[in-house]
Amino acid sequence: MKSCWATESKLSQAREHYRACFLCEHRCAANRLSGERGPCKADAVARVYKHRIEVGEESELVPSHLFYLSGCDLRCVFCIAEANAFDPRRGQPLTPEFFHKAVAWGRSQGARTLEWVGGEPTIHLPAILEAMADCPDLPPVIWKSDFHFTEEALGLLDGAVDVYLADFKFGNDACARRLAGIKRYVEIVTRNLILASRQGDLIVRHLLMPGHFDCCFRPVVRWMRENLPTAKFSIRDGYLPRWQALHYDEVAMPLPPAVADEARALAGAAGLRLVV
Amino acid sequence: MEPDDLSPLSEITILPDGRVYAFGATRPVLEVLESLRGPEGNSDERLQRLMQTLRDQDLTREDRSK
Ligand code: SF4
Repeated sequence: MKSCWATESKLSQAREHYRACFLCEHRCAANRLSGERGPCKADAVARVYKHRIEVGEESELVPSHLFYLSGCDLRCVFCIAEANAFDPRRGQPLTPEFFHKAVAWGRSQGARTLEWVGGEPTIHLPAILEAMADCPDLPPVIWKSDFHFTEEALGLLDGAVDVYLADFKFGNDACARRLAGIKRYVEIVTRNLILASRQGDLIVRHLLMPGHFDCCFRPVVRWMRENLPTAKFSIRDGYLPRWQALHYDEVAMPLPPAVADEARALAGAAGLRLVV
Repeated sequence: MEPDDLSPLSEITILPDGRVYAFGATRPVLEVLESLRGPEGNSDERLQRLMQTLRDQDLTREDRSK
């Protein structure tokens, strides 16, 4: 039986993006079925390069069954998923049959939630909705995303997702351009945070990076205080230089230990609702 | 279905100053970290909170199966 959100109209609207893709704010309109590729390089097949039960997410979400999809619309130089994030040909195809068996396995292992991660899952949204549409015994679904998606994509997620787990990485456009290769970052991500907060539970994450306290962390806290003061806010302090981060001086080192304490104190003083 | 896992490792990184990072943390990984850091409450708050959550869930499951 199909989930109630999974109407034929929604699924076919989602599939249309494979013909002219507007899933992320690159809005490149690539016909992914006919061999065109946008900046994400993805075709019309979503691929899972890893799935397993993990407990490193926010404590209210664990144990969570994470499905890692290859491919991303951003190009973060510090990406922890490294090549898996940027090569959408990696992994096995996400078919409903594969997914349903995997979900049953996850349930048998005690998973309380199911989480889509990447790369960036939004670039594979049509295949994900198709896989979830008639999946029996689906646990609460978490959408872990860079939030660089379009309003159209977010509309398609309505009803299918229980918790939006947002990576609010940068507090200004210059850092986003330099370290992730994208434009209009703040405008796009903050718009989507507001919209997602009306559509489901929202946890906003910020990964502390060395050298980005004043330019990124402080503005993120300020924006949260002014716009989403009651949303859950999660400070991640496990930054290590990965992928190409060694070529960028300030992020080529681990986070100095005192920064995490200072960040928590600042967010606490701003009245944000911290979760761990 | 057992995961057909293309990158099956969890990674633990220990910095020279003793800080420990775990990526792809599974329950057995957390248990190893907890044992490394000793039972005297000197593991960090997040690790303790996660372990407590998992133990509470174990108890709930046991209660339900009684
Ligand atoms: S998801 Fe990929 S194909 Fe679609 S708009 Fe973004 S970059 Fe283009």
